[in-house]
Amino acid sequence: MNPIVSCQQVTYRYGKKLAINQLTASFPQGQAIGLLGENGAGKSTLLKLITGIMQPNAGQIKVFGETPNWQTLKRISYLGDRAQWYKFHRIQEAIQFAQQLCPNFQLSRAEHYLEFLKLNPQDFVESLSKGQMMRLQLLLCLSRDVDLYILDEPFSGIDLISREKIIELLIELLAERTATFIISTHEIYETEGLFEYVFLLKNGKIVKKGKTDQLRAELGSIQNVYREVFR
Amino acid sequence: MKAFWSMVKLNYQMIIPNKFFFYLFIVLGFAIGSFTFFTFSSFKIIESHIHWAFLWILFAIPGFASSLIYNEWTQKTHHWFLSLPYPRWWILLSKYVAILLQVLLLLAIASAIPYLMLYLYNQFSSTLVVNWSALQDRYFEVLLEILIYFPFLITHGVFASTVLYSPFRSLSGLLWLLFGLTCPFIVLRQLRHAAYLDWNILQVSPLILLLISLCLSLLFFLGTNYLLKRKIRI
Repeated sequence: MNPIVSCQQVTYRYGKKLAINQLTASFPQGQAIGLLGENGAGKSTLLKLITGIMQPNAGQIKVFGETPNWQTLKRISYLGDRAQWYKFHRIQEAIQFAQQLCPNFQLSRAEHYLEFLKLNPQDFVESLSKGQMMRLQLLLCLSRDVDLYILDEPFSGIDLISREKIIELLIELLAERTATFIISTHEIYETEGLFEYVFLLKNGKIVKKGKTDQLRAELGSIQNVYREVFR
Repeated sequence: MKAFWSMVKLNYQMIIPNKFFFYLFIVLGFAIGSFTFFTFSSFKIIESHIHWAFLWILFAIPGFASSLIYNEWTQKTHHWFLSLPYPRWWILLSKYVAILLQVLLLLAIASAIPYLMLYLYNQFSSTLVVNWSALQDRYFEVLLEILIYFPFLITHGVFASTVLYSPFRSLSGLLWLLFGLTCPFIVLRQLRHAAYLDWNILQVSPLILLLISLCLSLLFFLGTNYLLKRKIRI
């Protein structure tokens, strides 16, 4: 099967700091992929490079067989790390706005998620808690019908209830869609059941990768794999 | 097209959110009204001083423009606008149009209030004799000249703030210095009639000014587009 994303010797620097170090990887199509690693491992940077928001200093990235650009973004739905929404909008306005701007935005799906995630469409974004904000971001991201969903730390810093709701929603989605999901996280305990394939990233390099079933068979759980790599 | 105007509306709200607009309008009305009243009461011929009522808007434009980029980063909405499936120039254009509309509205308010104040003052005061035809000519002249600076000031503000989120952030100071250098020129050019300044540099034709403004705007636009496409850091 053709990879949906392939990276060849990709390097990215923030000034003198090397964030991605000659990384080479192929992301399989149609699977739920976990991008795991400690803080500062380069997960968010790699996802930004895949979306085309930032350009690598060296190496080559191909998404759907082409260099990431604004056209490839039509087929990608991206949820950024600690992303927020415009504070002066109501939730309803945010949905309308996303519908007007994003191709393939499914309003009926957004309305379903609104109920599922227990969000009030009349609430102002300014008044939302961190967990509610993440639920809204996820709603806007997942209501698009695209080939690749990229979620950067969707569980970071939010309460247990919100986290459970989001995981529940993702499980529902993974069961019904054939799209590819790349989800970066370090909340492995709760999310390891989601992934079919994982990449472990350390100091800007892939240090371990493989199908979760195989890795589990080797070491018992993804948590054990994580411990072995990062201890 | 619908998507474009939605984006313009969003950017427009970002400059001054709707809920603050009412208060801004009151403050503006009071400030410009009282300023105009006191100015008119101390001058006998006011045509050559009318620019003071709305020249200040020029200096607010780069502030509005840079806040539009700066707010995306501080409110952490930059992931969203940078991952939209539209070319960068399209996104930039929507920001420029939003600033232009906002500034045109302010300009209209700031131009109308002195005119109204002058009309009222003229009704009740015997000391002020207004040559309405000369006043209208001067209004037209100043407004036209302000419009000439618009493209330069809008694109400059957006570029200077985008530079902050790129590897060239140290150049930001230089860009603001460039803006600082244009300020005395803009003010002195308006003052040249009242202050009898006959320096050659202040007598440049508006057409040449427009050309310079458009050339610099194009440079800033291309620079911002390049930074957003290739060099942005988030």
